Amino acid sequence: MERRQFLRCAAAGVSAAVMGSALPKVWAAEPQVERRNERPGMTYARFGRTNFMVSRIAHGSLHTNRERIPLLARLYEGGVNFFDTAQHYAGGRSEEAFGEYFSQDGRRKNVFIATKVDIRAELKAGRNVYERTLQLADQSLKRLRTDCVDILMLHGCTTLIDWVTHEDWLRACDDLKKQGKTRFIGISEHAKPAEVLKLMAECGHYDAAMVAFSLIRGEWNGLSRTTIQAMADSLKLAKEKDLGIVVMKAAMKAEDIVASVSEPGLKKQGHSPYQLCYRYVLGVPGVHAVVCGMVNMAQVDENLAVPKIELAAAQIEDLRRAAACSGVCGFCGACLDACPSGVAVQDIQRFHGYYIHGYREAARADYAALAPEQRATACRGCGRCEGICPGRVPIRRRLKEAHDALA
Amino acid sequence: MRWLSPDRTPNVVRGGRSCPPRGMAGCLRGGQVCPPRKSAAILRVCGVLAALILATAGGCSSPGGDNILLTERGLWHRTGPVATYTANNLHEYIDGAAPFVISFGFESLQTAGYRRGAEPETTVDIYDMGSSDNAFALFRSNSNVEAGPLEVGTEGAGADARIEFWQGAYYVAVSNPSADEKDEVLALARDLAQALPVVGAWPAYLDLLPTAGRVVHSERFLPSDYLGHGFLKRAVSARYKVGAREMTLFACRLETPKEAAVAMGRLKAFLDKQGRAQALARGEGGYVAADSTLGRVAVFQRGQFVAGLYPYPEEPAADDLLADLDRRLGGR
Repeated sequence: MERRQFLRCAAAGVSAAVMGSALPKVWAAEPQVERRNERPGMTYARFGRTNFMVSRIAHGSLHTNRERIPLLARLYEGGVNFFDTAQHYAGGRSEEAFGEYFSQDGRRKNVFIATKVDIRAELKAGRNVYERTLQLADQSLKRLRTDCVDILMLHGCTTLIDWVTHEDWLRACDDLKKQGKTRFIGISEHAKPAEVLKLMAECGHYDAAMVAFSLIRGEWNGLSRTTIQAMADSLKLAKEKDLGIVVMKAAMKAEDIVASVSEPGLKKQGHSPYQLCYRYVLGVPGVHAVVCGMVNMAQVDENLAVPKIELAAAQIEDLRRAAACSGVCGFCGACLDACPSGVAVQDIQRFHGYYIHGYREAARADYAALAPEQRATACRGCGRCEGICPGRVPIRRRLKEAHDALA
Repeated sequence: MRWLSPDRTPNVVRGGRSCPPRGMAGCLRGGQVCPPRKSAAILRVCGVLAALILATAGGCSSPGGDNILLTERGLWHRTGPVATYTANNLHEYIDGAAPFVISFGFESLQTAGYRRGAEPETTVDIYDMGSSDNAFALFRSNSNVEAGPLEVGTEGAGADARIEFWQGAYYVAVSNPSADEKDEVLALARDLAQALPVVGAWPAYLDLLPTAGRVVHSERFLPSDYLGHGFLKRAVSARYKVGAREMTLFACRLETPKEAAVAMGRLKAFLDKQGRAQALARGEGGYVAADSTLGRVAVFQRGQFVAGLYPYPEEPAADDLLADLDRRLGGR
């Protein structure tokens, strides 16, 4: 036992002796975790306040259907116990495949199933939210051939900020819990995971979140994909509130990142780019699992091996560095004064990001407000900005693309 | 399938496909990928020019005006511009579902909102899948499983939330925002189907499947990873009723007989781990093996095809099905 650890234990012992029976219950007892389908090859983590011991690899089943049921078997036999689906994945066929496989041989009680309801049309219209949630939950349960899902999530592909605390949605969740149709609730969020996670943690209604982030910001949907750095505060808050966190889209541009690693050990080990990126994200404080979309056995076998991969500190640092140089603008500001012609390089990329994100008018207005010599058309193509950029962003091409969209 | 949040408006011009030759089915996407706008004035000029071209010769339309997603469709008025997405940015519209749609050969999507009087807005999504083979495949793998059949397009289905159909190279989804609007939304869907070109009818790969005993609407086409195996590609399958039993018949088309033989071997190696395979007197190198999920699987090769049946009950009726499939594959 290390000295620091010893001192911590000793202090706890003294406190317990002094406080005796007055010790708060939450301190007095370890939470009763729930274990299912644990097998030697996999590792597990307590999924926040749900107390589920979930496999660190979760199955994302967007592509799952009856024709790919053998994949579920391989995952199950590999110790995966966390299976994620959604009402509209493959028009409901993903849930059907779950129902067909897990309803047999008592498998249902050996896994944690999360599904999602898509009520964005109702939320957007501001009506029928409560009724539709109950209706869709019932349909999902029928397809899944179960009486109760372990986690029911609000399906989000765009920002859900305005809807995190939607009264009718939360009322429907409470009623579904009372009816025994779901045990816990959560949200999945692609677009603004940091903001949504913060709101979820603060409002106190939620137990779990599925959030999209990775080592780098994705090129498509530029501003809406979040990096690990941008998630740090929200993850910290989520940890304080004991939310279960599962990460999706964790291997964004994995091949590009790993192509530029320099640490020899990373390549020698023979791990795939996806394995390395998943493993990196699993090491982020507050992350309990990563959800991986898998369509064939080779991908399953690759991902089953992820939790046991050991990454040395230098390798982690190298991955971080490689991600930072992967051609995606991190808005670091290095290019701010680089252009001899005075082109507002970073601003233009930011406006283009707004545009891609859907804020077209605002983006165009911002671009129009730039002086002519600051716009992309003033670029003489000298490439000085690209020489300075630590992210190796192809800035000259990006400026042209931005101008085409914004002008 | 409209997943935009209230604060997002779709872009008019997205992606970068060039306009197909006039008269081709793909002309649907028309001028949506015209060069980016310089100004609203240029846009207006383009619109007028395109309208003139359309009026005189027929062909590609302009940004904001399209030969399918017209500004008026019967009693329906388009509420905004037509947005176009390609494989490069489909994520921006349907996000995580994009790879699934793309895996079926997706080429482009055009989408627009329509409103009838003061009723809630409906959304029309027209997916250009490049061929009727792909459009059928996506429809059968993506349409709502709760939906009942509807007479719209080559094949249509509707649930309370939306109507979907496929026709020619197009897979179309029309949202149904209100129960009161159901009939009108169906009328809109039929109107769209009438405007869409019909190229070919049912996919030719369906002819590989025997017809006797086939379960209605059970036919599927999976472009890759059939049964979760990367080496089993272009799989056409259907369920069959044989007495009280239901079983699945499939045929995967590989590039060459040699590739099919390799796939046969790899599948056998996988199944052998669960029990020793036995020879099956069918096709080239046929065998029967046990799988923990599928039950007994009968597999054989015929030329560039790997085909089979599961669960295989070893009954004359099942053998007849395999023989029928073998005969059809042999004719290819």
